[in-house]
Amino acid sequence: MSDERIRTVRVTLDGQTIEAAASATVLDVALANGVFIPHLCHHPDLRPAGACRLCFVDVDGRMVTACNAPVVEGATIRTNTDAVKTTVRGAVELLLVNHHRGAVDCEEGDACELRKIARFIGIDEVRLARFRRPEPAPPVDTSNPFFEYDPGICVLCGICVRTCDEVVGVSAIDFVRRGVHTTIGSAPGAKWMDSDCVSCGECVVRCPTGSLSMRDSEVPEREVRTTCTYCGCGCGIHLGVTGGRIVSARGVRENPSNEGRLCVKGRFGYGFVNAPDRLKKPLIRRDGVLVEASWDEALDLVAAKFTEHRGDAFAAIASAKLTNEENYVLQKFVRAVQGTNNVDHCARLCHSPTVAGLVQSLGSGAMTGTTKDLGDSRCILAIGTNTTAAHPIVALQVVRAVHQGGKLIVINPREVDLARHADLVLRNRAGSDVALLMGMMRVIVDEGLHDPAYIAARCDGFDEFRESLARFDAATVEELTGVPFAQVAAAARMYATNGPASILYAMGITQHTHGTDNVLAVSNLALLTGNVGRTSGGVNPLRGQSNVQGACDMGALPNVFPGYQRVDRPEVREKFERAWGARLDDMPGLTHLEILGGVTGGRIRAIYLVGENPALSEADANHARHAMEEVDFLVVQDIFLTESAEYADVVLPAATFAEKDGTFTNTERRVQRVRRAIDPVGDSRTDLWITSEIARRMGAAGFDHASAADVMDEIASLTPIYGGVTHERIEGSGIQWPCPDSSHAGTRTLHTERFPTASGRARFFALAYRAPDEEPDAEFPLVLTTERSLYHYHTSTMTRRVPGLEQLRGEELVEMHPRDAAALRVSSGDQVRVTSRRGEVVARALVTEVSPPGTISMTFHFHEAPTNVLTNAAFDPVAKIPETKVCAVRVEAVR
Amino acid sequence: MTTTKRVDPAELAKLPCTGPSFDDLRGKLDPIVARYPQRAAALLPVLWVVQRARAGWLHPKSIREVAEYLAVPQAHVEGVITFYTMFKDQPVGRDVVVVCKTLSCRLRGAQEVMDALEDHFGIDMGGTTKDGRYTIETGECLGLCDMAPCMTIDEERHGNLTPESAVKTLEGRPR
Repeated sequence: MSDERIRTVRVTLDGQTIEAAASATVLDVALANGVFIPHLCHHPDLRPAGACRLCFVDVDGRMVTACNAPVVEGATIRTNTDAVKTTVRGAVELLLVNHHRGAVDCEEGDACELRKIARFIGIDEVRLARFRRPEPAPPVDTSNPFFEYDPGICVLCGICVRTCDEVVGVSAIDFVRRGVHTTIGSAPGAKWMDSDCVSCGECVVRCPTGSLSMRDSEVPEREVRTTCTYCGCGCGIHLGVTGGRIVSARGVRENPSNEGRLCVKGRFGYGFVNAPDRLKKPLIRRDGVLVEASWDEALDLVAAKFTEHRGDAFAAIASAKLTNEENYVLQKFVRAVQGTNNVDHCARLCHSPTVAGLVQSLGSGAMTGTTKDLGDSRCILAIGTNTTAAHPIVALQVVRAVHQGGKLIVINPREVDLARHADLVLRNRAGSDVALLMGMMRVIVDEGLHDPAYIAARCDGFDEFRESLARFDAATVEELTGVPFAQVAAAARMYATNGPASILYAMGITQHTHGTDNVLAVSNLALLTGNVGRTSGGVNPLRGQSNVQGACDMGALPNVFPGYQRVDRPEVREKFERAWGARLDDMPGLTHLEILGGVTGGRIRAIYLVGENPALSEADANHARHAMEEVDFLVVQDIFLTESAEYADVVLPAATFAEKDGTFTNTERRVQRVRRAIDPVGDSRTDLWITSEIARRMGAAGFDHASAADVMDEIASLTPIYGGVTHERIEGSGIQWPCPDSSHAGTRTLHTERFPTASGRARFFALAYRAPDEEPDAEFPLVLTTERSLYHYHTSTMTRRVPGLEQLRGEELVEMHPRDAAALRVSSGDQVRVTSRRGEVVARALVTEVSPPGTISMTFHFHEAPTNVLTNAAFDPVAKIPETKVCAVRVEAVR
Repeated sequence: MTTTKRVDPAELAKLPCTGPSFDDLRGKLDPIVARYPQRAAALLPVLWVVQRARAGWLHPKSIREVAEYLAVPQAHVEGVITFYTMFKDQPVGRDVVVVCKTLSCRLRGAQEVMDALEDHFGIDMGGTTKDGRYTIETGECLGLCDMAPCMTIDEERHGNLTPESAVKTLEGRPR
């Protein structure tokens, strides 16, 4: 393949001699050299189809379709012989008479490729009129909230069908019916909405005629290139702006993380920015009611109260939705002004075991690879991740790997969507991952499939680890995981013999009382087979939020300064004391759960809650609500009056990602620009301004940065892994940390030569199985595991303000296996009450074999059914993450 | 003249899916799948077995189950079913009658045969008799030109038809 890209051939194109890559097609060469060949079914992202029959050319006297004809040394290509012209004219005329609309007077205008081609060839539409199809056009399918399909102007090029298969891997649509009745469809009588469609709109943006088109689309006055605010994929988007409104979004093809592709939220999910109920004024609680106030009043009150509560009675919860610069300034405020390390954020609830675990084993708690490289893996092991729902753009790379012949192993109690692409699906009991992974590793070692040379050269602790494998014999593993050992062994062999192999994981691994052990098991497996440090191999924790990687990098954690520099290291602390001009605490602060838990004992008296919603997101949420009610002084800084903001003493209206400058760091460690597209809505302000203003009003120095770029310069000067990052340098495609200095290009694959540990070597960890904290019993016989919907984000503060997303998924659903449903005499759509030791929730049931017998699942997107009142706050002893993935519940029908 | 209406496709899923459960069909299907190097390749014969076992048509549930069984997208199954005329995505009578409408048969009186059947049963071509016994439709060449005009009743062949003999053949079959 690579040879063909380098090798060149010489061809003659309409009399011109041209040098071209041997891998190119005739169409590629012609288009690259300014020779237009009509074509409708060709798209650079898709394999050639040769379906539309418009791109005929003459190659050495033979008529061929240019889109799937490779260039051959010495070939003579002619695009304008009489025979070619006649053939192409005939093909275009046939398309036009089968079209239900005239091309010339069509409202699609020049967006339509068919119209351009008709004009290029010079078609006389009047002459064609009498050949046109007499019957009226079939009805337009308007079932999808975001786009519509008009079969009347469809030319059946198949780009949508192939995009859904080759790019998205969903295959929701295909050609249906026959002959002149052929159209694009899915299932019998199904509207577009009833199909497996995930509403990503990738087909719509590729449609050449406007047959698939956006609904309510508005051509923006201008576009601003920025980074999506939803998940950790960190997709580049062009936000379209008209006046002060966001009206459109499209993918940035040049962005290396997404290459122009977007998911349903990334393309259609920005209506929340201009939602009428955005917080536009500061609010102060007076006589028990939140009333509007001026910024001066609110900030003076906050500054006075925060001054009262300096020291360890103060805590801040930062946000993975804030920019790096804002998180940096926030943690600086907590440490330098408030004099405490009590700062944490939601990474505690998602990937703290990754940071705690991978730092011990590999020296760095982040994805070792790059999103794009995942697609070139020979084997992907996806464990505890519902990638298509939570990281849709990363999932596209998994699909690409499978299409290239790579193996896919899916390990998950639930039969997640990705399973349909998998070579092996292992459905283990929730919480049994250590046993399963150790079982796999035992097979690998017993059969000699590990990489002794790599282990000897680069790793420590192997012997002790190897001894710990003895505990995981076939019978034990089978009993603990519920997976037949033959399947475990097959997965082990597949993973060990197909390299480079990448492991993807997410909350299914981390949100356990043994989350850190799970992470260490994952890193053991990758080290055992020599996959860490290889391109397209390694350990890839998929980070959840747009800037959760960055919030961790910026030190919004109680034990580290920016760049994971520990607060208890004197030399580190002295560096920051010099830079910030303040005395800093050397004791690690409280974690997320401890902060809210600390309210009860009076240890925490004031909380500065920025961009987070614990009322819905915290395990054992009733406890979190109680803490927010109890605390002496609660400041909530957010874009909406969230469920948590209702407990606040002061609410500060913040600006969204579309209204600020800064950077996000995505899951592949890529630091990318966020750019201000519109002015902050109403009287809202950026979080950077708000935090800095509070600090200034408290008389602190070091909070008068001229811009976000200025803050980044300060970050770079103190944070070695960001040492070479400036706004100017990341203008184009961002930079992946570590990037120690301004001459460094950033790091695509971590640990290629040495590990960032003291010894430079990685470490194996001996592990033992530990059961989840709460197991089902007679009173609470079922396991509840939490999950995500593709259509919503986190507590849905943003997504539920987008009507189309609300239409696609508007309520909580309790997913349960048909066997459990039958025992409870429950059918899909029935109301059920789910009760745990901590609370109860009512929602409708969805009976599906996606859930394993004995385990039900719920999202936590819906405030009407706040799932986290059920979940267990028992936490991992190392990472302090609550066990959101396993708790015992009872379900009963509500009649 | 009455015409049996096509069921609105959106309503199809509400009709009962009669016949054996998919699990009961696996015994017949697994050996078919085993004959092919890839599961997806068995789509046509699998659909045929399921259609015959389940009242002669493919209920949306059947389509879903076949798609899952062979691990092919549902939209692909739909594409195949709607391409081949012998797969039915609408309920049909107990037996399906196809009257040939291609050239040889037309020259030998196929139209008269069709007219007679329409008159006798009170339906249009493509319709189903009121007792639900027959769906009578037209088809392209059945390959029986030597005995034109011809028709098939499920897999039985009947040739050298006259309007009278066609009606008699259908009425004369055991109920």
